[in-house]
Amino acid sequence: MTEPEAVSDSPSSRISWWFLLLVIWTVPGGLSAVQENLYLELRTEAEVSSLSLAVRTLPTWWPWILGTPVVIALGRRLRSRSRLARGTGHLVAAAILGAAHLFWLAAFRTWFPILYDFSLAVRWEQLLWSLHPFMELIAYGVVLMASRLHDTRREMDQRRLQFSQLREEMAVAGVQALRMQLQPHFLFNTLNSISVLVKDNPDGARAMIQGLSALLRDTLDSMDQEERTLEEEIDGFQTYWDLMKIRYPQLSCSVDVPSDVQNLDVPVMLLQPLAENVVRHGLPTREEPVRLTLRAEASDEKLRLTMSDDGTGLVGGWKEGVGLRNTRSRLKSLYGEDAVLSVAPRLPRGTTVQIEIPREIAG
Amino acid sequence: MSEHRSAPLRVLVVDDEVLARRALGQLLENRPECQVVAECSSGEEVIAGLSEWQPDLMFLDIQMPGMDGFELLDNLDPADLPSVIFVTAYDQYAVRAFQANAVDYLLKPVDEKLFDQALGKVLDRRQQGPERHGGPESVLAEVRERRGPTERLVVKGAGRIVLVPVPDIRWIEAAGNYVQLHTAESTVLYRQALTHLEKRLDPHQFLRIHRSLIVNSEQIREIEPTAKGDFAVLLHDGTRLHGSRRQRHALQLLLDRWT
Repeated sequence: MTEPEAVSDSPSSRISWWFLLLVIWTVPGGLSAVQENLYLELRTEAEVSSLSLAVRTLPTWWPWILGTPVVIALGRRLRSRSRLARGTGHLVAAAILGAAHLFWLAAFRTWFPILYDFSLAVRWEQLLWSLHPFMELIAYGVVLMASRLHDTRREMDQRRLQFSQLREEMAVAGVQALRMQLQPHFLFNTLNSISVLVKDNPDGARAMIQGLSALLRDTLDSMDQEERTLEEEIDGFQTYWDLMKIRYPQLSCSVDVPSDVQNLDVPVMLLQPLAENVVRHGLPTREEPVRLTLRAEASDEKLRLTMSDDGTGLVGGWKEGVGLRNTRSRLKSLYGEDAVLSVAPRLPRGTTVQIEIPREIAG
Repeated sequence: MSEHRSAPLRVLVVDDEVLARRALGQLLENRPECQVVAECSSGEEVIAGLSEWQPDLMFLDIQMPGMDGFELLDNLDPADLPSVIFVTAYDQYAVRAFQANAVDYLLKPVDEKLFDQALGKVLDRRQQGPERHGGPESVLAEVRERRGPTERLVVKGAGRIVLVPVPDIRWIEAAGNYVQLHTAESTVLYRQALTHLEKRLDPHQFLRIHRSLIVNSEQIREIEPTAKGDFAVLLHDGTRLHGSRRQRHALQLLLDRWT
């Protein structure tokens, strides 16, 4: 027996759910109709029309149409309980529902006997003979199992959906990260700087082309990685930052990363978008110097990265842009709730971005 | 190359990157008809110095820290606006939407031929008079339309640049080519004609009640009729402003919303 879809709220699916129950619970009645028909043909000469036989047998299991939702609801309610509570609850419920059905069956058979020309005594004898309390237990068990099976399948579908959504998010985050790195503004402004240096300072132009090449290579290499060591990540960041420093000579940077944390794992291309934010939003309009400080420290369980700058800081009405949101969702997809990203004003001026991730040794 | 006996074209270069400014410097070095009067690294610097430099042409980067190229244009008075050539790394989609010829744009790294063409157009236009290709007024109207109502005004103060958030403005009074912006703290002079500024503000919030007055409707406490259909507007801070009967429709707009 296959269970219908669980009752949902739309009226049409509600109707089809009840209709399906009707069909299902007509099946056992139909079987007994066939059985009665054969029996009567073999054992009596009495003529019973198929129609009247159908009317008298098909509805015999219909009370279970009302019983089914009760069993399903009870099954869901008892699922989280102890085994003893579950067993007792279901036994009591099966006894009550089974007894109710048998009672109804007795009444039905008394008033609508299969053959009228028997005396009441014979009808009662036949009735007792046709009651099967054990069948009630089986019916209850089948409904319960089918509903459990259906729920499990739905949970699995949901979990599968969640999983694929998560994967999609990760893929989108990855593509966005890539677009951040290969920002057209970054690329064309860098090329513009090179085109100027070609004339004024050919050695500088050559160095800048090499820097850009290193950055592009680093970007391409990091595309199929989720994580790399902090040392590699800082190398990539330095390449990027050196290019930025040519475009904005007012920038400077200090990196304080103890050697014992350099081999810890960090998400790939984590630092560059943060530094990009500093350049895009943190530069004062008068080309005043801006210093970036990058610090890493680790405890037994956590690695904490701090990037702060002494630029213009968070202005009123500030809200997180694409870059930070993107970093946030990447951290979440990699570490779940174990990662923390916070953005705060730095005193006397500037901004501090702090990231905490679980400590993981490169493997 | 033809002799240019007329005054050289005064050029202003605006870009937040020193090498990008240098790129245009390199291209302009070979053009004796052009004179670079200043290089700016931000829109704020332009607002501070524009009246002093009086440029004929401005090369303008779009993405800059602080205010971007569009916001800079939005804060200039049409009377002060030079010809504009946008120089951009990747904002061509934003610029291309401008009416043809109203504004030109160049992509970084700048192609020398295209640079010559753009400059040639500016020089031609200069000889033919400014009206032919859609004057600065039309450029500013498009910037305005693109940006929606202005949220802050960038005001050149005494030796510094002040940002005035638009909601803080209580009322505005025309003063020749300038307007006076009245806020709770102070009154500042802003270089833009009242009629032009009016178009940049949210018409539901800022009502023109007189030829020379705009009032922030959120500051209004009372309205009372005076002689001959004129009216007076009383603000929460006690200021009393005179409203002209010619601007009654503005008042009506407000009353419709109140009642």
